[in-house]
Amino acid sequence: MILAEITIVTTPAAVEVIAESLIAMGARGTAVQNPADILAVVEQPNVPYEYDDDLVGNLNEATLTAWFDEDHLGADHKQALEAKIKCELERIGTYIPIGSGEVSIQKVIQEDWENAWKTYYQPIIVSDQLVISPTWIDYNPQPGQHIIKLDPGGAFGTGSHASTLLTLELMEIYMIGDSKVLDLGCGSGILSIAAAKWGAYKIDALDIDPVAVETTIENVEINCCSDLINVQEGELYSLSAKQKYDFILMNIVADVIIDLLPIAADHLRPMGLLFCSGILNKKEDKVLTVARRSGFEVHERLERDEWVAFAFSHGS
Amino acid sequence: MAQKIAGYVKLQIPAGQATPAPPVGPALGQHGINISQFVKEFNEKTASQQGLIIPVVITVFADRSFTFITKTPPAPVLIKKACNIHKASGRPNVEKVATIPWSECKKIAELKMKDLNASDVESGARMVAGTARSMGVLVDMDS
Repeated sequence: MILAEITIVTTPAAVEVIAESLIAMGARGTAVQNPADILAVVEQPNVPYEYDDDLVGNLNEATLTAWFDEDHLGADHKQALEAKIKCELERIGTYIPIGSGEVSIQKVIQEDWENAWKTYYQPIIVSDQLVISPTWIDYNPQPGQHIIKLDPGGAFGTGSHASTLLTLELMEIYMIGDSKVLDLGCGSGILSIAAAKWGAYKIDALDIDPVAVETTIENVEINCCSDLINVQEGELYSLSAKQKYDFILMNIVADVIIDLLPIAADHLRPMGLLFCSGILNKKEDKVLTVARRSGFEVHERLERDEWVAFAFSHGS
Repeated sequence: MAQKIAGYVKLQIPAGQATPAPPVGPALGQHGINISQFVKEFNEKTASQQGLIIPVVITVFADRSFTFITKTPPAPVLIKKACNIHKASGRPNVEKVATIPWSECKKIAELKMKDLNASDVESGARMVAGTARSMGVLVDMDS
């Protein structure tokens, strides 16, 4: 099936009214890109996201997309629809500023959207020893290769991001069996599951996001690691002083890592290692300054794309 | 986890009734996110608000995972509800379908304040009043 996709560049003040009008004209749905919406997300307290400056864009401009059935796409129909929309914009413009009101129409093929997104995911060969595979793909492992079964969803950590891959790389280099591991900001649970595959005898997986906790529990069950991984909503500050680990994993973001570094050493066993990832290279120096001030030394540094990861040891 | 935002989009979806059909499919499909999971989570989260259109802002991260927050209903929906009408005027400059008191515009602005690009409730209420007029709803500034 073919749909007519209409895009209108307008103002944040007018975008909802125009959307309402297009629905009344028979649109099957609308989508809006309004900078105010993403500002509300990135400015939430305690949810530090990384983002490029151009993500927010022009605060005075919003883009509306609407989808109509294909019968609006014939030459006459297309012109009629365009004329009707322009007339509607003119009418709305007498009450609310509508900005440029630029209209474009293009054809889109209606796919099997319920399944089309799966084409983006293929098994990720992290190393000779580790593969991350979606559950719907029956991956045949090589001898000695571990598989993490993971479906992408509402929690970060599908395995395709550089920061996750860097942490997995550090784990593969340094993690020995019979260790106790803390996974702070566990997201999808991918790192906890990898720790279990590499022989950790106990893993505490913590996240402040309840969706991440729920996703980790599901993924831990899929990978049959429930007896090794304890999943809880919480953060480093909620641990007692007695809880100490051979490895602490922090694949978070630089600003949160900087906050946690001063107390991380309190939970590290002698000879233990702290893996910090999710650090944009432009924030590397800030992290290093606080790490050194907190008594950590750089044991290993890895870089991929714009992301940096460290294995830190502690002198105490 | 290291969450870098790759994109975002706001959709308006009937509470508890999201499906992969437009707008969800074409809007989210291009980002490669798990549409079935979004549909399931949205419907679970909004099941108690059946009958309302819910704006939802979906944030897509660099590894195609996502999160979403639901917002207050759109101003035109709240205006129609306040005036007890089902549709806006087709010819708002000549055919008026209802009158909304200024106090009601302020109430709607207060409710939507965090979603409006307005500096205070008064300017938010003026935006709501503009929306009302564009729908053929008169604004009674004295009540």
